[in-house]
Amino acid sequence: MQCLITFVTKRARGGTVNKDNLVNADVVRFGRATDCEVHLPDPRIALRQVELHLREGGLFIESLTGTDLTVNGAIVRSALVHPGDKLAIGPYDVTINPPKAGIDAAVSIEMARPLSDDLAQLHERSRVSLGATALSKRGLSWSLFVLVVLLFLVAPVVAYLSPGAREATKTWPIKADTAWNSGEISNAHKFFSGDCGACHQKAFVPVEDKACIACHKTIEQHADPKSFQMADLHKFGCQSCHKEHEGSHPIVLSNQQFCVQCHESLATLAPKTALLNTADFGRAHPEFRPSVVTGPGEIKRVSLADKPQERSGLIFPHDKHLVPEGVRSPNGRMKMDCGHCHVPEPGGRLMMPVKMEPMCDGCHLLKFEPTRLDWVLPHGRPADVIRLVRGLYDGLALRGGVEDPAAPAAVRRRPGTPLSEPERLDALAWAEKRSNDMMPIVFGRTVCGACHVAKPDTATPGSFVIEKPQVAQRWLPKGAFPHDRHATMVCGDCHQATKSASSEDVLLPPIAVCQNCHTGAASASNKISSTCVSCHKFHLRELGPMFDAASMTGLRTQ
Amino acid sequence: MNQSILVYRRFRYLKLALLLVLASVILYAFHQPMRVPNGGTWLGYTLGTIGVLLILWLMWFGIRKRRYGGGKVMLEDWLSAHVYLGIALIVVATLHTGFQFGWNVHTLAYALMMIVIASGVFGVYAYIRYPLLMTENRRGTTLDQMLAQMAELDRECRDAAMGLGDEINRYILASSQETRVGGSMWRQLSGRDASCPTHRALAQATGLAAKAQREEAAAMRRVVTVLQRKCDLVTRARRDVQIKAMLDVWLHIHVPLSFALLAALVAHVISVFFYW
Repeated sequence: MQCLITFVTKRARGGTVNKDNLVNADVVRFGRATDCEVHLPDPRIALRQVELHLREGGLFIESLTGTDLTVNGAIVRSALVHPGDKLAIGPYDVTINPPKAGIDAAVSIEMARPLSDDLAQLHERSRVSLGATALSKRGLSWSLFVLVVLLFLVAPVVAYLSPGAREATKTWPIKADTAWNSGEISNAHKFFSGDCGACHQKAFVPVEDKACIACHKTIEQHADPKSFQMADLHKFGCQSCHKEHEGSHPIVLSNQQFCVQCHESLATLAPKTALLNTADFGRAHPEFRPSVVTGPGEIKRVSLADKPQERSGLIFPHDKHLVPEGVRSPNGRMKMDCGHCHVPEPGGRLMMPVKMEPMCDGCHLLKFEPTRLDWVLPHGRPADVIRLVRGLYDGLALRGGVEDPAAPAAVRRRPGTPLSEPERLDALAWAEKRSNDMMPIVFGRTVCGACHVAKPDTATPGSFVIEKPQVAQRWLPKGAFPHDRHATMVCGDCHQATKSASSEDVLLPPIAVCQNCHTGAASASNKISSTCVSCHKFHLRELGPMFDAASMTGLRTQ
Repeated sequence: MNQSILVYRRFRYLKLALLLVLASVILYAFHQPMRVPNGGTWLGYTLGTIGVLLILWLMWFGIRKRRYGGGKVMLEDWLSAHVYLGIALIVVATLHTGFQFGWNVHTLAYALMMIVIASGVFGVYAYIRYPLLMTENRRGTTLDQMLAQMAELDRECRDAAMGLGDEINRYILASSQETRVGGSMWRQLSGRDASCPTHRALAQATGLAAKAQREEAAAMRRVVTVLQRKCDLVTRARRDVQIKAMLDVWLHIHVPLSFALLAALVAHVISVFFYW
């Protein structure tokens, strides 16, 4: 067929340029290949894109690539075309023209959609700076600022002002009332840790003592306010020592610097004090000064360095009781140890008082009459003992049957024989003499005097008095020594009882013994760091409440 | 120039920062608080106050640097001091905390501050290292010139491939129409594009060139040569964008988190005295 191909080119200044090309071929091929009848030099066109045939029915167009062919706007694979039809082949617009005489077909072709400018497109596709992305420093800055202010400043303040709002935010991942919490509450106070207002009663006001006294009404003084009006104590509120929000551990101040700032120069600060200066248990602590009984009703603090003697009125040689071979007892030799007499109190810290019964009377039976071993005196007051002894001899004399040849006949008579009045008086006279003779033995070394200091009563002849035993309940009442926490040691490590022959010995270890294991605040590799509060308390029970309970207004000074 | 910020005035601000650090450490070492060290002791308040003032001053640098020629003190002084005192803040603020941390606004402020400082330290590193790499990478051209060359090569490649098969033409068309430099923040920072159309086209062309015959082979070799040049350009252009992004990205953390820090700091200070 004869086909007229017209290439239409638009001119920059308007108008068009037509370039005709007459093709004679059975099939007119459109494509990028140079051997195509219609050469379309564009990378978007296939080597062979479409073909134009002349058949009996007319002029057919057929796509060889399957796509990118439209006839009058409709995508087709092949179609019968007529003059006037508008085709699009890739970026080219093709118009079927009415053929002139002698020509089978005529088409005009125009590049309608040229490739865009590569550089402009490349610039458009490429974002070459972070500023060109959605990331904006300014926007992000303000967003974060506002977010943090809302979550961590506005929300907690709103929660403070409105309990309802606080409740509402309880389920939020960031809780308004805990975002400000600077640390864990101590275990003792944890049960009300959700109630900030219990302590923080006013905003921008430090926690006041009255918040503490609300519970700790009876918290005691540290120094006797009558003797030591230490103005300095006013400065210290509860918070000076007891800081909260610092973890679950107790909030008792263990740093001894607080104590030492007064106690290292107490003699100057409070000249009336009986306390000695101290600064550190390891370096500068005075020798222990136990409160010992120095005489009837007299208790004094005497330094262990001065070998204190306790006038307890009791006789007890520890060494005799702790001999390795054991002591003689009704049941043979018995090895004694400290625990025979010294039993820890239920709390385990201190020892129970030692009692005659049942600790001593297993061996020390109060018998005095060699002929009457069935007679056993009770552990009681001297007057009762004297009365009992006299009664025993009276009864013996009146009953008769005494085998002492020096005794009157009435006393030696066969028991059950009736007594005349003179005989009775004889017998009682014997009994009185006998009991008077025995009294020094009863109150002597073998019975009462074995343990007690007994003397004849100068006011009442024939009577005896026993010095009242006085044993210090606690030799070191100002310090706490928990026996239970030293259970890994044996008693003899501290108390030299096996070498003590006298009950006047105060069997406390000197401070050097404690310092074998304990040092002061400074940590040492092989010693236990011990500060003032390891043994001493700040609030002293015997000094009464620190605060005026009625007004709850502050430190009590008078 | 960049180096000189660190050695500026013979390390004057390094010495100042070291002095601050040393003073803080010595005070902390000899400080014996009643209980555990924390922000509430006299030293804690002192270090905290120094920290707040430092942070405000460091943030003022963002304003000062925009005032060209403003102020009596040189901008270099400001930057040198900004760097060294900012790093010194790590010690001052850490000692202020007394090593007490928790899930709260106080530790939030600390964490934000540490991230801001860390990003700043990276910024110092970037400003020392990347400009050299950038110069090396550019080989005397600019990014715009590289892009123009790429566009030129696209045209050249299309012309060379005009007589070649449809498949390679599709790849080449994609290379010229879809290749991009940079893009999202991640693409810019990574400096690569796993599905780069130019590299795909080169791989395809190389494969086809091996099989091509006669005159097609000559055209194919030309296409391969052009695509290789374009690949080299694309890689260098992406590296250029990457280096610029590295020089820039830390500021996108440094600045916004500084503002978050400022907010957390305000909340921290207010909260501490609110619940005194």
